[in-house]
Amino acid sequence: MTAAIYNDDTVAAISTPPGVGGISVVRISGNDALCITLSGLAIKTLKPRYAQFTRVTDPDTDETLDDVVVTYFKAPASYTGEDTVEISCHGGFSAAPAILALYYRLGARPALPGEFTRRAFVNGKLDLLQAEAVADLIHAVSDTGQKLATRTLSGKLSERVQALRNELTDIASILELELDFSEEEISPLPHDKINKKINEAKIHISALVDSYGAGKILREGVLVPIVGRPNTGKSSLLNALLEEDRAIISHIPGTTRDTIEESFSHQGFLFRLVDTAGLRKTQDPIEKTGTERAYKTLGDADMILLVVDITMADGYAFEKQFLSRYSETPVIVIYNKIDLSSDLPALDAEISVAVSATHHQHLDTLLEKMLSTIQSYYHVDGSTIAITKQRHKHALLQALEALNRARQAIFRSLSNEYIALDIREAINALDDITGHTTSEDVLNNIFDHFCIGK
Amino acid sequence: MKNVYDIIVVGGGHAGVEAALAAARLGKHTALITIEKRAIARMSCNPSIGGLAKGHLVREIDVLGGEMGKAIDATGIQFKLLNKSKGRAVWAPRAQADKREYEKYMQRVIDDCPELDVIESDVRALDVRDRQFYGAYLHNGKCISARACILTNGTFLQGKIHIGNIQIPAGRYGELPSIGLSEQLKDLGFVVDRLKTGTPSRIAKRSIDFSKLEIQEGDSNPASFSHATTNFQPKNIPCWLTYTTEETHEILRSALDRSPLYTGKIAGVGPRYCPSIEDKIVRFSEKPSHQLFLEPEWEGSSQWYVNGFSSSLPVDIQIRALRSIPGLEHAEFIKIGYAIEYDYFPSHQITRSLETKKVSGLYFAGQINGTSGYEEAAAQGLIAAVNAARKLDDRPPVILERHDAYIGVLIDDLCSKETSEPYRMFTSLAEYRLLLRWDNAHLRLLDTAKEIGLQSQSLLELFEQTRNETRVLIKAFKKTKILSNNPLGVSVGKTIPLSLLILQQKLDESHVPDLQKFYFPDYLLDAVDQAYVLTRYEGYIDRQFKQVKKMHQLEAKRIPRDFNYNAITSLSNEGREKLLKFRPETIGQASRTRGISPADIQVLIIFLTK
Repeated sequence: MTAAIYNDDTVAAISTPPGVGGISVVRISGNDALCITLSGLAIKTLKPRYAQFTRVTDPDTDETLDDVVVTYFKAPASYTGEDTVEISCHGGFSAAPAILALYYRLGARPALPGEFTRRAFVNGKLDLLQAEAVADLIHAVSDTGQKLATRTLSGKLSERVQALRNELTDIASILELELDFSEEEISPLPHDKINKKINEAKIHISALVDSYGAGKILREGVLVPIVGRPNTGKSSLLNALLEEDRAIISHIPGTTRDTIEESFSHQGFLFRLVDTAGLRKTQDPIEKTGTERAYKTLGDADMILLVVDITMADGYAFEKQFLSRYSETPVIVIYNKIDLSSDLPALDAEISVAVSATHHQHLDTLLEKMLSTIQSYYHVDGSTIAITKQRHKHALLQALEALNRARQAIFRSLSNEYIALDIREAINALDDITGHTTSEDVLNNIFDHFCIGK
Repeated sequence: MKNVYDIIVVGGGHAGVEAALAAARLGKHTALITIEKRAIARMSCNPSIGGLAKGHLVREIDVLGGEMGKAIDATGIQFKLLNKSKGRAVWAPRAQADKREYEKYMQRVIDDCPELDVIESDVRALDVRDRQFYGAYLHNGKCISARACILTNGTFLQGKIHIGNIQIPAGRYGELPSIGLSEQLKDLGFVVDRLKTGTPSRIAKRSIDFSKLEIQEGDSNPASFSHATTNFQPKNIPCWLTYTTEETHEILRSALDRSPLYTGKIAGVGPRYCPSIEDKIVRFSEKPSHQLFLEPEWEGSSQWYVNGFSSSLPVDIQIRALRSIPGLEHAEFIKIGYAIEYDYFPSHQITRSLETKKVSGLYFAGQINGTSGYEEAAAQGLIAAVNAARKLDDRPPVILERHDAYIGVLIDDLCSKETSEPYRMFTSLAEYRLLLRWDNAHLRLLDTAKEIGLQSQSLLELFEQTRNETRVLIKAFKKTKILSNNPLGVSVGKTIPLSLLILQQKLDESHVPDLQKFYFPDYLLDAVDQAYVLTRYEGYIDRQFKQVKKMHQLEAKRIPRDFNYNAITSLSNEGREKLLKFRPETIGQASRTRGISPADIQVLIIFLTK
């Protein structure tokens, strides 16, 4: 972002998504928000925090643009911390753009993407983590993702990072205290005790690093490829879970050539199912490409559904090999076609469900297992505090690295001032998350992720 | 006594002495005005110079051309390098002083200084017109004119001594306070506040039972403070160590209701790090015993300083408590411990040149800026005088950064942090402490010393040579191979580069002289030592340089002095209040001020890059 924002001007934008909706909201924020808004209204005063019914009228032509409800938020008790007016007008493609055009003419400047939130940040209404959470909230794809963003917005993640920072500051203080007082004045804390404290801090930071997986799941949904040999019923399963005929199914092995991604929501989680081409050695170039894509999807998977046709009864070498290869990702083995057979193959599966995809048998059990697997494997529940940004993960990893260096320094019997340097570096890394020393580039990058109007 | 000078220095303590000498040596016609000439350079509290972080300050003062290091080298009676068990960066020299000889030495240097006059008087008011300093009014009404003035009044402004419930106006034990000046400065718009400090009892040597004490001797072959000192063979007179007992604590506790600290008689805030003994037993109630050093105030002194027993309790309690300590059962008092309250000017009122923001040509140095300690005072006195002299010559002030020197940290802290207690220099306050070693002050401050012009040409050349040789040696260490059969007496399996041997910690400080002797005989021992330290801690020092560089982006962003913070509505209320109060010179400085939030900093960056 090149245009820096100066709060001596007033900005306006439509804050609701474009398109057909019942109402649209035009937001105007800045020093002159009240005065500019009033110049286009049929009433002459606005009472703070009251929704007032009136008309937007072009003062030059006296033409009425729309009947509206106007709410005035007096600084600093507004989202941006500035004088803000929100005009609720009729939805659709005509009223809101016309009102906006009028206010641009009356002195407001078009808001840049993320400018309202940037102003809120600049005015101290939000910290950097909270500002990022607003972007997440706007883009939230699932109920749980939205809750996570809300928790970040309420500052829970900031609190957590602050707690980590305090923990490290305590260690640094102990180390540095000993630099300033002679051995006679205070009894120094033995290095094994300090090591223990560093380890504790490491565990806490690692837990937050690990929450990145959970954060990603909550933010972007659970990526679940459905894999298996050809004709095991993968596409049938997809259709059954989606409760619609999304994928073409046939008895011909290799019907699915490309990967198909479809999402559905269950208990607040967004599952992104990916139907893949059956995995087998093939000479068909198109099918081959499909197989490659399937393997690629597996690399990003949060959870895998391995579909097994129990009527095959051929020793299941492929499935056994697959399970040992993907031992890092949770795999649910689905014994399909129980309507045709009752002999379950002896696979070493941690989690398995027997279903009939075509007859929708035991799908509830499958859904339950998918949910519980995600919750237990990624430690997510209703109160999860998680990091959702690569930037946060990077900073936390830097902090961990610094703590490892500190342990190394203790191991090498270096004296406290060297250990303290490492601890201070870890603190600085945490400060990057909350924006304490964040450079302007990072800041701009963050605010560039907004759509206009927030 | 003339009526017109270039620079007036008010006060003859450690700040005043350095200020007066620096100003005069820079060719400025200087007057040192002090209430009592024979009290010049008096050590009003502990008989020692240096110590942790403070020793660094003395070395820096010395490199920049100050007098303190030379004076203590010439008059010290015991020298010790502290923190030897820790890394090089936090080693610090400390010396026991002979208070009488120290005063005499400084007074002689001042007498011998050609451009410097001493005027025995009390400055009652300043001649300030249109925010410009013109002169100082003496106690007899006479006005001395000058173009610049450095106030170094120490604890004398409205000074008040507390002993138990007794309060006596005084500047120091047995010396009159300075009355009126702070009132006038208040009228000029300065903010004045109160601070408190204290000093322990002095007891008679003949009443101490030394057989019950532990002896504490100095180093046998210590390093000097000053680079100018040659053939350094100082005295090594012991101090003695004893401990308080449960009985001592009981006596002190029983009288807390009679302490002016706890009864609210003293409004000023005392230092947390140098607590009175009653404060110690309250705050560290779990400690059964506190150590006390018994130190002679001068060689052969009959008057001994009880280090660690500062108190403002009533006389009878102090006597009973001291007499409950092993070795002090029959202690006789020469001076009783006391607390002193005094006026100071919260240091947001000065810039980093130490000039006041309110009055052009008026500088503050030492305790009136809210600091404590001889070394802290001396450092400020020196910098204030250098900058006053430069201002008269229309030259820009010398500003030391936090990565340059402890003096830089000290002054930057004064200009960006709230004072809540007397400020003392600490190692932990210096974030770049690995770069700020006591042993490299002459290398890191070489360019500044040249710019200031107080250091001798021959020493500057020696420093330059050391710096150049160090650079060469760091490379040479990487190429020098140490064979298994080597004269260093180090067991080496295979032939190994010297730098690696040092990194593997197979060589330590004690090998440095042999290293020079056998491998680098054409180089200065000091340069070999510097190269050793830089090789040993290479990774750490590199990382500190990176931190300096990262922070430099913020330090380099200057804020105009008259910046209109009120026009930025987006600043937080607290942030704006602090910015208006401190008027930081750079964004870096603003980011260190409590109350100025990260968001405020971002706002400032946005506005300044506009």
